[in-house]
Amino acid sequence: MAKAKPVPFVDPEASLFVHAAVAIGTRLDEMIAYEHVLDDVQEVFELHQMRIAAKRLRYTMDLFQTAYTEFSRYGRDFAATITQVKLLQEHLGEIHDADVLVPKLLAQISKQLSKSHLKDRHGDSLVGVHIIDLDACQGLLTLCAQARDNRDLSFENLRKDWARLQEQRVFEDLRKLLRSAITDETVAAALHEGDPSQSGEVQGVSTKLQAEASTSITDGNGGSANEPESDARRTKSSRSSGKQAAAEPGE
Amino acid sequence: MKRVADSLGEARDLDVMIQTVLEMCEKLPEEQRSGVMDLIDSLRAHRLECQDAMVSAVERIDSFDPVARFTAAYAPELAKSVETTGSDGESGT
Repeated sequence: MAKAKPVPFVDPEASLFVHAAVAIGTRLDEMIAYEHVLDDVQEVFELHQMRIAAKRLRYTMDLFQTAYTEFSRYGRDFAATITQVKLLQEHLGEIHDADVLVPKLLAQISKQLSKSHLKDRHGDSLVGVHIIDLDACQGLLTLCAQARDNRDLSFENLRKDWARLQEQRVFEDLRKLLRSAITDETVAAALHEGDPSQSGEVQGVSTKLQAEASTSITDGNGGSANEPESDARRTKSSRSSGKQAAAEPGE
Repeated sequence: MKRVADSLGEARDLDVMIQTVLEMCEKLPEEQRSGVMDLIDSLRAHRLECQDAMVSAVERIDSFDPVARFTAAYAPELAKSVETTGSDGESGT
């Protein structure tokens, strides 16, 4: 199982929405990086990796869901996106189940067949249609075929749902939502201070926060969570006196 | 925590697999079931082995007392945070 991609920065001075945006953006990138495996039904290992990536994304979103529900106006959209990720996870889980089950069924067939390797009293191989339990083998083979058909169906459903999510721009909208929550929070904080004249400054802070988060929330057009730190972030990180850390949520 | 999660995950995966195979097996003609039942028996045996590992992992985490450790480790930070929030008269996310 591939290790989780490190979340680029954790800054105790930044808000929870900034952390959420960075962590979720990283996990989203991680899952989308496996998109190419949807072209090949036989990509057993890579599909498993995609399943793990989807699981990490979903659990990371679960972790921050209360924040979006309670402290932003995006709770409903955020929850709806979690439901979509969960759906992908289900398809990937069904594919994985078949990939685990079929080798066990084949190993059992192999055991059945090995029972047929008998010798007669002269040391010669026994041959005969009744030595092998063909019916038992047939039952196991039937299950293999069913598992394959179920897997094919799950793979097809995965492709369809993925295409639908891309068409509906669900991933892009999630990135926008993550950025918007940061902006709203910054504006709300300034209004709470009761100084509308600070609006210019608010905009500046908001832009800076967005820029920080955006470094990780790539737009899907080649940006990377592992890009070198910007000067602004380096300054901010150094202010945190080495508290910058790579967070790796559990499996 | 990882040990507990891994052992619970393995046990659950086996439970799901046994249930799935059983359901598939029931749809087979009677004479074709013996090989599948042998497989189910071996999965059940493996599941029993997992149970021991799972119980020992849970007992171990119990004695490790993660809640107390977590609270102790973060108490100073939490106290600082409450102090700051209190003096600012604000609450944040």
